[in-house]
Amino acid sequence: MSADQPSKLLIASLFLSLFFLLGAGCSSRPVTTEILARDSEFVVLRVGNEDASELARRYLGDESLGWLIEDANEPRSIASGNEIIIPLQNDNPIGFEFEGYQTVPILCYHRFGNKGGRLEVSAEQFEQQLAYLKQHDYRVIRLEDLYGFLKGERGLPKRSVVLTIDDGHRSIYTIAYPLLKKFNFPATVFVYSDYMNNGGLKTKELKAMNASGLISLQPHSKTHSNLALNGIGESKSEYRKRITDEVRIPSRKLESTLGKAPKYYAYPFGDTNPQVIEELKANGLLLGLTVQPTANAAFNYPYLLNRSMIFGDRGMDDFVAKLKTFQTR
Amino acid sequence: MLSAAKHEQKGDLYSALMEYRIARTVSVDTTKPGREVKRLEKLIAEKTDKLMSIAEKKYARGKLQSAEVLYFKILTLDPNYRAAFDRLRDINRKQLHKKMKQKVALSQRYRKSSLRKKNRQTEDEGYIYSRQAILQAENRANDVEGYIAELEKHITKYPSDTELKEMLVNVRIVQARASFGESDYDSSLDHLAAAEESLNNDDKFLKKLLAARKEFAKELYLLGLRSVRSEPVNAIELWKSALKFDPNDKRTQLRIDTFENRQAQ
Repeated sequence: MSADQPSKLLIASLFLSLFFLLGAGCSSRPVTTEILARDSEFVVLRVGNEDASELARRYLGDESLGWLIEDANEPRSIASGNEIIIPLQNDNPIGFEFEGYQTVPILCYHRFGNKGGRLEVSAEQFEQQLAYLKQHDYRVIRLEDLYGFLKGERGLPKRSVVLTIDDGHRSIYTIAYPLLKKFNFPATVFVYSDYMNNGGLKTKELKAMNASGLISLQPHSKTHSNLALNGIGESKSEYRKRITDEVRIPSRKLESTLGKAPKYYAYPFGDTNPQVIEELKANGLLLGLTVQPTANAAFNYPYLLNRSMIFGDRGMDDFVAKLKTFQTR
Repeated sequence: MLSAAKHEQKGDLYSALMEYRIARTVSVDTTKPGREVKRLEKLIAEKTDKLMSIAEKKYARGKLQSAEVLYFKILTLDPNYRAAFDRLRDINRKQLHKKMKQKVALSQRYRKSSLRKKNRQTEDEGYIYSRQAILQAENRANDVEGYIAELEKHITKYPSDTELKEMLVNVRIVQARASFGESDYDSSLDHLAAAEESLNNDDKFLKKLLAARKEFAKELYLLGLRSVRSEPVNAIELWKSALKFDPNDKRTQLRIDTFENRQAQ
């Protein structure tokens, strides 16, 4: 260490102190959050330099609950100097209000690309749709979150939407997945197991998406046969066996590939019946998804969840019309 | 407090309760908000229990729709009223099962031969969803154009689906008839021409459209006949419109020629 080094350090530290003092003096915004009142139900405070996530981490113990603070104070923003309330308990987890109740649309995609066909959405369309969700403050949630809402236990952000993709085409990995990563939007991909490594997604791709934490992989039958219809010449016992196989085999295959048991099931063609639902329950599956085009309320029956199909030959107006997040009475 | 009172006045007791609870948190020096909270909690409990008792009677009698309305009301007063929530789910389950039965019946109806190739499954999926989009559009009573657009898209993709071609012809003829009834003959013609364009390879449907054209032309011809003495100019207009529907109608052409010759003399 040279002789003049301590004096240089002293000058540097003086400069830094002066910089922070000036910074604090110039700013009229409060630096720290000031608690104005508090009991077991609410914290009332004047916001400092923290955002909703930080406040949620501090007062609710979970930074992902920032939306709860934002929604409780709407239309007031969580900005420095604003007085806000933080509800310490979510007293209304089912989203019922005087004017109506909250609904959650589940969007259902299939293929991505430019080959054409109603079931195919181009990369540009998909990106435009995801950008719309982001710009208009929709919150893309996981099916897991929706499950809590359906149990009547877990409130959801007001403008919640779920994204799902059926079948397991490879374009999910090549086109949809990079876009979902770009927007940091979670999605659930339902694959039918005979298609895995056989024209559809490969094991390597499934594992990569699963490892990202953004994509949840769930079963969509074994062969993609219609589970609600008897095959031609199929006896009752053959039908029963087919239903068992179509539910059990893809679940096992996904479990062995990804190391965790699937929880949700999308019916091929969206068709089901009580027997199939019983099979889902017997296999520990918690949700069954159809393609009836409506959004879902908290009281929706979990084994007949509605989903709205997104077609490639429709415009943005049609997409926007499917984002119904509140049902008026 | 004011806000809470306004909510209560409107009947939104839950929001009023929330406001009083916040007021209770903020106003530690007064017991008034606390008293209001207790009063409202009691009021809500009384109201919800009363509504629940009526709803349960309706439910037991199988009057699910009116019971459903009451369960909704209970949950807007108290979103944590579990018994009402469970009943709503039960009603929803029944409704969804009913809808699903209808949907499966449609799938059954549209099912093709079991000999289809395995790799055509996703193509069939497109076919079924395409038809579902049509039904969805059909149910949107005010969106006939949307319904027609769905039919045309489907037929472009699945040109052998004669059942839906028939649906398209029928809806176009119905629309043509509606416009005709409003004396909007151009719009009526547009509907028929659009159907002919969509189905230009199918003689069976073209014949049906031709028959519709002839029928409209005949009606206009007769209308012209009725008004030829009192309003000859109008009659000529009607016959000219009739010829647009059926350019090969010699009878109408003869009437126009005769009238025009007389005018010329």
